[in-house]
Amino acid sequence: MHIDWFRQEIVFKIVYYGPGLGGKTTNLEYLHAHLDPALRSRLVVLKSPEERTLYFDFFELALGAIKGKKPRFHLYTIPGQLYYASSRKIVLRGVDAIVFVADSQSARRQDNLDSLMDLELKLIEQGKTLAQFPWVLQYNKRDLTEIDSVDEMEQSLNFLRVPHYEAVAVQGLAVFETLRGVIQLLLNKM
Amino acid sequence: MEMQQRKNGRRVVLSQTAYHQIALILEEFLSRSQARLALFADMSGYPVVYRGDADTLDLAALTALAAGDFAATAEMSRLIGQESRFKFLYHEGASRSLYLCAVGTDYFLMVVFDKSVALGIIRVLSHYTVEKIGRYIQELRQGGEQTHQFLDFEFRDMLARQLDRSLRPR
Repeated sequence: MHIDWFRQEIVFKIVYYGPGLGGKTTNLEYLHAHLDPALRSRLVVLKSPEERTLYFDFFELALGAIKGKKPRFHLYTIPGQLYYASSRKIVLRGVDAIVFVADSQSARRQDNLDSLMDLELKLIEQGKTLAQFPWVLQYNKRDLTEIDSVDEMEQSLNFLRVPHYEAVAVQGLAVFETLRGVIQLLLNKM
Repeated sequence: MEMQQRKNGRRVVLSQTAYHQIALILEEFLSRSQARLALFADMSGYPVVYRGDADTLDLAALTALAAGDFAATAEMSRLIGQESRFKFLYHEGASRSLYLCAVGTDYFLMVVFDKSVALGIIRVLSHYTVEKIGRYIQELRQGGEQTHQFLDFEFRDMLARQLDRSLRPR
């Protein structure tokens, strides 16, 4: 979080985390495409030649002044592949809240778990832990076949009973709800 | 605890005094160097203070990318057996160039300048500017108390309602 008393701005950093190809970039792209253009910066997408996120994706959501104070939200994704560990560490620096985008496909069950454990380790390096941190779960790709039930995913990933959202990011289903949910959680924990 | 938070760049609170002092330093840098833009930013990707021509620039995106640049090259530095990250990064363009210089471990200075300005002058003046800014970094404190003053209950309540209205698909 960054507070600038002179410009009366407060900036929050929200990171979309999760396994590769789980839909993190799709969430950001949908939000960016469907938000009022007056509220957002350009979308920065750094992709490899294989269309995978290389460093991060990013845009800024700037709301109008409230009581003279201007809230801004910096939305980032991280590269999901495990070998981009250093990029993930960097993007997590100074993070205020996290959306964990899990892939509902049964074949990705272990990838979801590995990514969540990776997140917890990265937070611990910053002196934080999931147990005391504002984060939500998004179960993405609910429209596909061969997926785990929500109960199974809750059992596997939601051991801290955080809010969860059933999403189809590519269609925009629950994309805005997820963002509203994580920001609300963040504000409640301030 | 406060030291730990500071180390992690958790809560950065910019006081008006620090803002003015750093802004003055950047103004002096611009007038002496003839650079187009000087921006002091946080390694987490937040623009802190800038001076110069930023009308056509997306500063939020530019700062996020510059922080990512530092991060990526720090890893490159480590891979070639250096213990610390590179002190400065330089990207030369046909008409405009970027010079990035670390300020301690948590901040950096970004300079945008035209090809009519010599790199040498940017390097020398950036060096002095970074030294001067370094003296005010302690002013960039975290403070739970100040955070609560900014984020009082009424503000959070109004923000939640505004988010409810704004965060909907067009």
